[in-house]
Amino acid sequence: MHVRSRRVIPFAIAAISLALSGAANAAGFTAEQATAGKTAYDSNCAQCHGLKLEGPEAPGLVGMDVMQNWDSAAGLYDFISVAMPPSAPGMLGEDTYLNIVSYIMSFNGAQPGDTPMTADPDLLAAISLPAETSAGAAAAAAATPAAPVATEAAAAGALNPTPPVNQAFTFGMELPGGAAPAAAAPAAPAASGVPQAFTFGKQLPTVAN
Amino acid sequence: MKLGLLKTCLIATTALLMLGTAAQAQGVRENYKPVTDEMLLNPPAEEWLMWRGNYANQGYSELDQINKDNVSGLQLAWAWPMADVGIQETAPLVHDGVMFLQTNNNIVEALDAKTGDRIWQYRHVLPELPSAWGYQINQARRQKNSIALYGDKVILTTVDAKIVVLNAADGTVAWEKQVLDYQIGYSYTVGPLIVKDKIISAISGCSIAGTAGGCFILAHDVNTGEELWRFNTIDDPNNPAQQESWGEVPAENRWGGTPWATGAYDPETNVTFWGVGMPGPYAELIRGSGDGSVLYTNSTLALDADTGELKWYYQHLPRDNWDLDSPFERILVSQEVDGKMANMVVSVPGKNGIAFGLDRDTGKYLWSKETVQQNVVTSIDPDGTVNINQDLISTAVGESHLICTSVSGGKLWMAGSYSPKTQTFFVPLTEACNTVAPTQTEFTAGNAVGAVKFGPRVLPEGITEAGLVQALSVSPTEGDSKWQARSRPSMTSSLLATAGDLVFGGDAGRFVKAWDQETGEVLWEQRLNAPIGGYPMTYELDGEQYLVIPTGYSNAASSISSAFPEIPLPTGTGNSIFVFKLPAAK
Repeated sequence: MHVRSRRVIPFAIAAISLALSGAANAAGFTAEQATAGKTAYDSNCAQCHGLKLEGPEAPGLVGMDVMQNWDSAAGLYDFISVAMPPSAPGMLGEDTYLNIVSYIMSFNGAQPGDTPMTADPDLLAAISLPAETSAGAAAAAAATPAAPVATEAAAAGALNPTPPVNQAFTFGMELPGGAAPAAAAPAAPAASGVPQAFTFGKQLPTVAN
Repeated sequence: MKLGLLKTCLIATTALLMLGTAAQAQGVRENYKPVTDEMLLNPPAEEWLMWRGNYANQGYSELDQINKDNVSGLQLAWAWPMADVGIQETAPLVHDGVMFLQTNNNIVEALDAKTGDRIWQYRHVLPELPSAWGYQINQARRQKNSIALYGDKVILTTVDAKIVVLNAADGTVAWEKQVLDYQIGYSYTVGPLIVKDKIISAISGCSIAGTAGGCFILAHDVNTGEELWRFNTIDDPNNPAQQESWGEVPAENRWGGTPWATGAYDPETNVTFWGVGMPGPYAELIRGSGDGSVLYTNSTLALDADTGELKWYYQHLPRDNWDLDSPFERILVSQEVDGKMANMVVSVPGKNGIAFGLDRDTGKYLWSKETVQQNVVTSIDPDGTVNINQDLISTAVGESHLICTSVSGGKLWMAGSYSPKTQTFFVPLTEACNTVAPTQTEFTAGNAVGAVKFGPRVLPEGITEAGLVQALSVSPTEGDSKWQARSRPSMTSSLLATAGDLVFGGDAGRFVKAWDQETGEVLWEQRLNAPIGGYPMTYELDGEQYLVIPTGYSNAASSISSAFPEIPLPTGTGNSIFVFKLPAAK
């Protein structure tokens, strides 16, 4: 079975370090790609996934859990370049899929850089969705404190959008392939007061080459 | 297949309207006959009173006016759009000349079953959820067979975890009850079962972060709404083996166990049978349960209908690591063998497509039979122990394996149909695989705890056709393949078997078909506006048999569209029902 190596950046540490440095230029896509991606997304994806990536006819594409679940640009690209949109699966062309991935990352807070995203599997696998989007959101907040954060918390209705939730039993445990336990508490932009997975922060077994 | 003229039908319809108009006020069905306990126990063949037609969940009709000799002459009587866009998995019901149609977003319509004209509509006011709760919003819109009929009422289970009881005559609300808290993620997606004076229902939303520790089958008094009992599928304090099967994981870090298909009921033993879904998180690496089998996930449960007490359980897939949910319809089959009655629970309970026969009174494993390609179950012992391929279990974050069947099936919610006439079980299936890799994620409110990354659905090696209709001959000792009908597009609807020797159903290519029950030959097909969906059903009114075919959008229609790229899916939903009948006799 195919396995890949992963370089995991604990997103809390990345957010703090990039905010301090004031630079966020390692996102792995360009501004042009994100702009072209918005047009492509609005034409091909928004009717199910929403103009604000909120769904509801198809799963939403915004939020840290979505970023964590797809994990890397490769995770997203590998899926959409084969299966999406359902009415024309895999037919949009490589550049368009890369642009759409760039736009989804940008919408979730990642900052563009100088290096374009290409369909190289190793390059895509090295772009961490959780790290880039939380770092970018933190950098944007640090640069312009008055700017709205790229989260949906502010857009929530009467309900508290982040009530406490339990986490997996392994939350905070070190598992093969996973991040070492973060020195600090989980990043503030994540849901506050939310109980975490039992393994959260734990080092999980890492994928062997 | 041409649709003929409806001239004779129109004349008959007009005559009926002229007779009826004076007596009926708009929006009200006068003199609606209540549905009685006796009717539920012995449903009239001309009607369709519950999800799969009867308490045994067989999805079978005794009507035979439409049969294999005349099915090729079917004509469109009328069509009607579902009220809203979105995912539809609709199960139309018919009683006393009224068709009750439940569609997406908890909309219920009562239609005149002869003309399709709407009598009333009920729209449940849906709560606003934060847009960050993407998974809950998407899943909560999937309304599957959400209504039941009893007395002079229509009983609806809702997206915001309520039971709402409507007056069948006019769609007004008689009473409603908040069963569980939707603000932490609970949500009904399947409809209830009405047993004597009880509403028996099962909640969904158990994969959402806020609902850790409990997933429930519940009973409420049908008149007062008082909760009578509940059974927790992932935390049973009465069963030490169940607790041990989760290893060190305490209840507050357990999710899943969702029973998302409506149960069956055996009136002779007063036992109700429910299927249970997968554990959360999906992968044991993240879940923390080690090699535990994680009961009662992926099991059949037999519960006493009065008390909710567990009579027996059987686990179809222990130690799930791949979201191979096993909650689907459990069918009660009774066959007389050597003068004795053999009572079974027959199902293709899970996404991996393996068919099972169990003893209905003890839960003892009788037989199993594979249908589509799958690589997770290596063997099943004679005592029913299911052995899984441990090489496919990820031991590191990001470790990916190709798993067949895919997370979209194999088998999915689309139900099979059992014909007692031919003792054959007809099952709609899809051939599909996908990669699965655990991810270590922080859970947030309103979102799912699967913690697994799936690759796109792909065909298994060597397979070019995604759709499969499997006919299984069923006996107390074995399930055997009687015939298989393959199709390029995936199967997207449930199947309906009838005494007319036919099986009806359809696919993502917008074709509804009638197969010969004996041979699998296609005797009729009609291309419609959208993938065939929901639960085809049939009823008879004024001496004419009608066939109802839902169409429209569901995840099943889109999940493996890359396997048949030459068949374009529509981009709108097209959610509708098409109603067919034979030309009037000359």
